[in-house]
Amino acid sequence: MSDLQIIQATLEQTARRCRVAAGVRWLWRGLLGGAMLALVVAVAYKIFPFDFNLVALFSLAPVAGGLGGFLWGWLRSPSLQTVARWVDAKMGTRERLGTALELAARPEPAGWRELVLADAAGTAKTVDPRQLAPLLLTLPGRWGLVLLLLIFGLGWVPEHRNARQLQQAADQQNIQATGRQLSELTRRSLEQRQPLAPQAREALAGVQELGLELEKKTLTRDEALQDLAKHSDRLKNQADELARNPMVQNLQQAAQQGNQPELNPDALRQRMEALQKTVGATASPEQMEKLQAQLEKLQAAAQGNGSRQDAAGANARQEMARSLGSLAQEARDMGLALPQLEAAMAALSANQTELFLKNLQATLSDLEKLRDTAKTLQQMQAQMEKLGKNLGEQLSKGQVEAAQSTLRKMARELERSGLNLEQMAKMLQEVQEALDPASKYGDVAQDLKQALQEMKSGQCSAAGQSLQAAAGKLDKLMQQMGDAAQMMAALDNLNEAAAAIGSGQGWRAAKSGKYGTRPTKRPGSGVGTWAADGLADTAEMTGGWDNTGSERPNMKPRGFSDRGEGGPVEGMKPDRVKGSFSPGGPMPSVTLKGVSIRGQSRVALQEAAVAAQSEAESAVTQDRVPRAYQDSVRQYFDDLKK
Amino acid sequence: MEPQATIEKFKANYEALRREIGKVIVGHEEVVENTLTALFAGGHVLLEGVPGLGKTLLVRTLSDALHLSFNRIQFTPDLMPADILGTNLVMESTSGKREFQFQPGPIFAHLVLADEINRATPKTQSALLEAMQEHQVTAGGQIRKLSEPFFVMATQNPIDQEGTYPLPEAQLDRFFFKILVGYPSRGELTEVLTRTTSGESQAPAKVMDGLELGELIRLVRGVPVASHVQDYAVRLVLATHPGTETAAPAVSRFLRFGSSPRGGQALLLAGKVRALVQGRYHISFEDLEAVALPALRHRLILNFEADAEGITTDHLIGEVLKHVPTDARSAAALGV
Repeated sequence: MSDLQIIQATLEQTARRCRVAAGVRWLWRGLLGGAMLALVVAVAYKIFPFDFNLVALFSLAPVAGGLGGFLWGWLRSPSLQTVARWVDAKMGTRERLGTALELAARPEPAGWRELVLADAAGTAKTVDPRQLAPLLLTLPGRWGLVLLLLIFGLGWVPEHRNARQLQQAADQQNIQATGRQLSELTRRSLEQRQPLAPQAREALAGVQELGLELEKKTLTRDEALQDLAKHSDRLKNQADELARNPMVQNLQQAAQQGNQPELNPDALRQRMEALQKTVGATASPEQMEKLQAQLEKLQAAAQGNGSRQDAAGANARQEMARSLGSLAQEARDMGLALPQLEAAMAALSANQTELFLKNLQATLSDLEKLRDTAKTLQQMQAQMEKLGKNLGEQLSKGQVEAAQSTLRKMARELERSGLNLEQMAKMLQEVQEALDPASKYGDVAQDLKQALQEMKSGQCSAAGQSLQAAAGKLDKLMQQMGDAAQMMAALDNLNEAAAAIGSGQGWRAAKSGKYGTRPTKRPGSGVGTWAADGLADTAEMTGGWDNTGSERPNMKPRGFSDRGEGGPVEGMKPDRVKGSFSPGGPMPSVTLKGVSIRGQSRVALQEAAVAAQSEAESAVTQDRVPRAYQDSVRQYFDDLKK
Repeated sequence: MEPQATIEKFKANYEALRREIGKVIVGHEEVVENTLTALFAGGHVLLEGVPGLGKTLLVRTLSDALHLSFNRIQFTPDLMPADILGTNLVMESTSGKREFQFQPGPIFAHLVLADEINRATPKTQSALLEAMQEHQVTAGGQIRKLSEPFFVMATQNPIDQEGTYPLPEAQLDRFFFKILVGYPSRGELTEVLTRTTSGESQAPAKVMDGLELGELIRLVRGVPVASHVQDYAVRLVLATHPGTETAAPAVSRFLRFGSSPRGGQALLLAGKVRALVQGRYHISFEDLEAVALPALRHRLILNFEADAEGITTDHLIGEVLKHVPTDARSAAALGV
């Protein structure tokens, strides 16, 4: 190895070590910078409320700073000449290495170059890069670690938050949870309800988007409520527009009257047949319940006396056997197949009490299932009875699915062309009778008329197609009604969301009606409790404050000009405004739609009343209250004072 | 001859010369070292000190130790340039013909001692300018080369201001070094007294002749200099220029004029000599720092404020050395 190679090898090794050492040095600096940043953010978070995610993000700053610092130091690759000069300065080798490296690259008079290189090579052999560039925990590093400990310790220091900030944080959380709930509900609606009209789909998508926005954005309660109100209004307008269609209104009315079966007639019929096969008996649910009660009584008696081996026990078992026999006969008469009951009887006669009880329990279980099935069957029969007997009845009752089913069935029969004259006449009569009720459904009546004419002229196939067209139009109407219902549901969700955010109690609490109204939908106790919408719509409640018809005085502003001595108009007299209390009677109250003011009162009620009175007096004195109402205001506060 | 051999010879001669001077001169090691440095660098020396400190003796001893011709000129106010350079005299030849013939002055020697140089008028002082810079004199319209090597060793007394003429800046700048001769220490003074009052005296032996000295001077000039070391010399000189960006703050405040390029040349050449003396083959920053005072102190011209505040050029050179970093880049680039 030549002298130059020795020098270069040593310097390269030193350069690598220097890069690492510089990386470590910058690592500590970066760590310190990051720790300072993180500490500032953490302290700020303890004093001022802001998103905790920011604190979490900045808590990574020391790591990022350290890493960045290391890379910054490590990536700076010095030249060999620089390293040589650095080693000279560090070791006090009097510029041997730097001079040698430079001389090696330039032509020098013979002899000097070799002398300098040999001298420097000797020095290079004594260079120890580890000693020259040790990896130290520098002062910034020590401070960085101290700051990290401080940040860690700061975790135990509680945040300084005033009541308003705590309220804002709770509101924010509530808004996000409500937004999540709203978007989830709307998403499910969109998935379940397919297909939807474009307008309805767009409206629902808008609601879902609003939900996501509430969840993601940082909004105040007022902003969130404004957004919700804006969407509610828009959605309400759209739903109203859709529901304004008289045909849809008819359908909705019919649905509200409960004439609509849960299933269409064909499905209902099939289901009933299946259930009838399962029950296989003519017994009513009440009879089954009676039988069940007797068996339960027997079971209780068996548990009490079954194990007794004396004469009384034997008598009791005989008595039970007799009762069981008569009950089994009764069940057979009802047509009920209860094989476990027969087995129970056999066990009882064999004096196997445990087996008897087991079989009796199984019998009771079977009987309960049969009773439930019979109940369902009974309900279906009731639904079936509500179904219109013919097309006319179905249309008049608003049973659109049944009417569609009937229309399609008639169309199929017409298209088969296998109808005799009697059947054709019957069908003609049915369609004829349906014309009047069909007029509620717009073009459906037209299609029926056309089908009637075609049937009369013997064009069975065309008549069938007309009936199919009528069924299709009914289908479209159903679709519109479904869309309107979906939008109304979304509107309900928006209202629920507004209530949840407004009350500050979250979706579930608002939905359960815990706040504002009792489960009975009656207003909650206490002043300032807001009732649910529609609560005030009863004549009983509205009588006390209904001021329709009362003419208000001219309230237009006139500056400080005299407004004359005109007293309050009729209906606004103080004695009427004050209201009256009667023992045991309802207290008049005004129900307003709005947001409840939550939180704990900081002043006593009396103080609040006095303050309000003082303010009112001031307002009256300064003519801020119209002269016509000044007496009313004075009297109101005087009463309050009393 | 290979540099290695010449270097060995240089070291041997240097040590021998020191040893021989040491036989006569007690102490003043730095003065002797600087004088020899200037000698091997081929420069002239101005020795400044109060009377009786051995300035003249040092030069005489040096001349004794070298196989070189030596002349001493005692500078007085009535000394004329021709008394130094020489003059044309009417001479009669062997054939009886009379003609002007140049009679060389005392300047025509290898080693010239200009004793108490500041006692002569500036006109006479200036007679040395050409000789010192170009190693030649112009007399009677003719240029006459001086024999090589040629050295001027001047002495001056800083306290006798009456009847003295401060050397002009141009003259000062031609001196390679200005060496301050201080008082001897207690031990040195004892030794001086012992040597000079006992009647025993040692004469220095001849160490080398002019040819050998010339060869060593050429050797010195061959010592390599790294660019960053040379840059340091440049930055040092630039830092003495008042009012410039590179100037040290004290320099801008107290200096009227900074060093000329001759200052930089002196720094490098003196540094080379010092490196060889110390057994190195290249100059280091330390060499430049060590020779900065004698090389620069007479090249800086103080302003009135410095005079008023008693600031010396040595003080300012110290400030310059503090102000100019040796090799700041390397450490900064490594970030270690």
